[in-house]
Amino acid sequence: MHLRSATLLGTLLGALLTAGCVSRPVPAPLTHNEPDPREAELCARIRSADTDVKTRADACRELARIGTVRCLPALAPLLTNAGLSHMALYALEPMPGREVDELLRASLAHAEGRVLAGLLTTLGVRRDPAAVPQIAARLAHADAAVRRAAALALGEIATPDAVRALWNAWDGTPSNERHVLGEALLRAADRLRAASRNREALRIYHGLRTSGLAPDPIRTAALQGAILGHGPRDLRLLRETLHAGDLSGFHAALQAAHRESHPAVTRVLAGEVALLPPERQTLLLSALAGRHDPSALPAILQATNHPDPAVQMAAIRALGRLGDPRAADALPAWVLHPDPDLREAARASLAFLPGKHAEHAILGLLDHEDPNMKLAGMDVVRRRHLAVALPRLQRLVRAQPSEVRVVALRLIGELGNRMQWNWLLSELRRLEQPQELEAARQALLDLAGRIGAGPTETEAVLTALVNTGPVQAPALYSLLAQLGGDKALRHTLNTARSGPPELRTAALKALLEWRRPEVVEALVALVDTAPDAATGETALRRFLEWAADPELTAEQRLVMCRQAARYVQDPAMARLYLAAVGGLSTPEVVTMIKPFLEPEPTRQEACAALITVAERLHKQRPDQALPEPMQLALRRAVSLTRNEELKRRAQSVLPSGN
Amino acid sequence: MSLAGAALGFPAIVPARALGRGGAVAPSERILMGAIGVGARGTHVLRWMLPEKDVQFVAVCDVRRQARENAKQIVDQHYGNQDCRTYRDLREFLAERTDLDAVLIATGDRWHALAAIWAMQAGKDVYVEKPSCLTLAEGRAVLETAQRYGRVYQTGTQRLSEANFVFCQEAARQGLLGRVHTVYVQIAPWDNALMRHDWLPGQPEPPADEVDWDLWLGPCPWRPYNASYVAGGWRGYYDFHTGCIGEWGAHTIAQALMGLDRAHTTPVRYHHVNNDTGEGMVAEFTDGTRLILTKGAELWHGACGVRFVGTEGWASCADGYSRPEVSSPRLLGEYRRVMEEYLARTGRPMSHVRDFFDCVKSRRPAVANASVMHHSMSTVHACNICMWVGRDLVYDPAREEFPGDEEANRLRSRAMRAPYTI
Repeated sequence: MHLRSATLLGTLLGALLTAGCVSRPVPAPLTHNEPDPREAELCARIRSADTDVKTRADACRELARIGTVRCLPALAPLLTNAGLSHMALYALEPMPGREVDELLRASLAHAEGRVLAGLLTTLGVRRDPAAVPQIAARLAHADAAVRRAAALALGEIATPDAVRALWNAWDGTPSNERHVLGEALLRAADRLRAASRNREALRIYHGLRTSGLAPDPIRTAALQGAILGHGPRDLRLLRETLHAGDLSGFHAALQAAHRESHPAVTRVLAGEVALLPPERQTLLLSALAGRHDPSALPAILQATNHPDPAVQMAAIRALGRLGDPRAADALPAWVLHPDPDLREAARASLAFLPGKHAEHAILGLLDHEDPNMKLAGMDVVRRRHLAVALPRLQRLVRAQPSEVRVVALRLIGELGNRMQWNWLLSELRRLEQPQELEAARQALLDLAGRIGAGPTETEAVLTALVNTGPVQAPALYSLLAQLGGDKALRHTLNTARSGPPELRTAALKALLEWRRPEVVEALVALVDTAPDAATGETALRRFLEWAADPELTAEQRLVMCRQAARYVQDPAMARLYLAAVGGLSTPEVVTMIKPFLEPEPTRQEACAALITVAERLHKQRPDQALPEPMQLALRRAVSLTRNEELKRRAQSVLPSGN
Repeated sequence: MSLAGAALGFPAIVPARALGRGGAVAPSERILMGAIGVGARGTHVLRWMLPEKDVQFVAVCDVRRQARENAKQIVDQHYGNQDCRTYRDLREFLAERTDLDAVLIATGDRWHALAAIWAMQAGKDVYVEKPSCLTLAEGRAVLETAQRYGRVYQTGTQRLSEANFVFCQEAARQGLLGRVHTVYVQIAPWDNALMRHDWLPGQPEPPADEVDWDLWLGPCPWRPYNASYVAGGWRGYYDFHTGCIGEWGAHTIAQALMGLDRAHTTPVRYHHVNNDTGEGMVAEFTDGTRLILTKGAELWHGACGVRFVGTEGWASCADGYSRPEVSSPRLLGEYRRVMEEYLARTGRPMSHVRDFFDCVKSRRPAVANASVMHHSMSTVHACNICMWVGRDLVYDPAREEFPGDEEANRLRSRAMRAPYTI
């Protein structure tokens, strides 16, 4: 049922007067159906004279979710209440019903300032066409916030009348506010374009573009809108704008192109690339690449021949981003370019082109006569992780020069599988050059890590060691040190003790590098039996590092610390020893640490180790006091150390009064 | 080869001030920047940006005097002068500083969308902290504004530019995990989705120059001043925050959508869970691929975690992992190749702020551009709305509505408080 305005006004007026609001009252509409109980309760709270602001605001918040036109009589008075108008709008803005629009319109005449601005904004959000005359009348309001709200509301509503009102205000608007009208007109135009009313939209864009009064951001946005408005059927403006003197216009063209995926746009962009100055070509090439449209390929390929290196670079990168496999035909020509950036761009682009065609081009580099091309090819193989290249790589291990062989070996380690293990071992046995031996060793290590090398692979290394010469053997022993295992350890130990002299050094070195803890007994024995002091020292150092390794049990580490005690002489070794002792959990550490407490070079570390163990013991048994010898040692540490943090920690585990 | 070193910069430098502001092209190619909202997070990002050689900060704006003075000091100290100007009101700041090319926005969440929109309308490119909007409608408005004005927009989901996270996304996207059917996305372990509506006790408002309370509130409903809000105690309030889902979901959902190669859409079904936080909520795509929200203490030992699970493996990342956790070492063996492929394909640097500055110069969309932001935040908002209405929801990403569900649709927007409106 449609209410007559006068009846509406009178009812709303009465309601507002009842509410005791300070602004001029706004009449509320009548309700029609049975009220929802929850809604009615919320409305009652709003109406009640005893309700505070917070409660009313909360009621409005809830009505935003469940309210209907039945709550309009309660909300109406709030609309012109400066303190609650926003919350009334909060409730009303999402609420369906033309009665809501009527109420909002009726309230306009009774509102000022922020309240009025809020009403206008909500009418705009709701896109009430009937409100246009009243909103338009506020375009010349004394309050700038109201003028802004009115303009933007008209932009949201976007009817012909709304647009006309905006244009009517255009010339007379202060220059520092014209951007608001511009934004409003743009919103209207964008809405019209989204509704496929392109002609109306284009009129607005044209008006903004040709008005000498439009701020630059508005003009540029209008240009973009116009290009989009013409759509893929008429790309003249796009083409023109790409050549415009104004760089901002060029950018607008690119932005519009980005939003229009039609192939016709790709064709225009591709067709214009070569006609543009270099700085624009680079941007356009990037834009073309991002379209992932294969029809852009010829233009991008052509650009790789441009005399300007920046254009070449953009083109080569674009080939990679475009992802068309046919680019693999052109890119190899760049992989050895003297410019490192171009070279890098070409290799990166080639490496990730999809498909067999690109693979074929990459493999072709490996077959090239020029060793530099082979090296470039291997670089690309590595990036792409191209395992199908393995047979070629294996051949390259016998190619010239040595650099090619080295790289091939390393790459086999990166890409190979179990099938390459024995092959690599046999290759290693014939190598002589140190760099090649190292490359083979590293390749085997890489491979071991990736295939999870185990007893089978270790056995193969032991077999390879038979009759291997002194040049190659160190690499194999080094490999054993990483693989570990009891059999490997026994063999290495035997060689170190009683093997051929030319192999003992390699075996000793391997023991010192051994990766698994089974080596610790051999290490401590080596401290006494090492052929020279340096080796003995290294053995002790490694032994102490193991003694601190949490991979071993506490019991094992305790035994090792006991064993090591008699060997520790100099401060450097003492620090390693103390680090190991500091990882234990037994009062026995007091005896181990005591010799190092007093001497200055080891005092700090000794105090720290003692305190750390004490804390650990205290944590395990917080209800028990630490053993007396430990307490004595701690007190001594407190007196010796200058580190306040250590003092504090020590005192925290000592009984109070200490 | 270091991945950072392999990052491809753009050869074409477009003087940004030539774009959309007319007048003479600047004599240098430095990006002139201002900052809006320079509290703890704002100064953190400011310090991240200051060392960039092609960037110069010249002005800061904050409603709090202490914050703007502190930020000025940081900027002046960096440049060894006193040139940084301070502003209280961002409207005045944006109107006066026509010289700025771009702004950093790190206000509280409630201002992120509106400040970004106003800045873009004023011709500035924008780097804005997450979560970038409080409602679906705000997100849509930000996207429309960025498109309308052709502005470069980057939301502060910086993990989209961090190698360990990118690897996981790419492992998912490139099929190394098989078909990815589930992505676990971490939500913040504090706060919840059912946020507060209470008011802290009112205190006397300080002078506007000290703290401009009206401006601080901005588009949010009015409430009495209390210093705690301003000191960071606004989190957890419905009016100001997106809750635990938005706090980390702004990051993790963006990562999930990137990894699923669905950065420009959102899930369509949201399954309600009977708790306060959204823990265990499933958001589903039409093909059954699922996002599962979880605080996930057992899945990660860092923040903002994401785990992609596919038919052939899984990959998991969070803050504090230099390398992701994976179902098989074989996957980590692909790390270098995956990252090189990503760099070659996208040309993106492994630095979120650097990506933004490169895009300001090249005019290319940033990695966390407005469309990426809008779709990931739409997912956040849909999850939140599902919690608030207390039932399952269906969402149409094309129409950006909950078909036939008026109650849910009403929660897509909130009336903004004049004059702080879009």
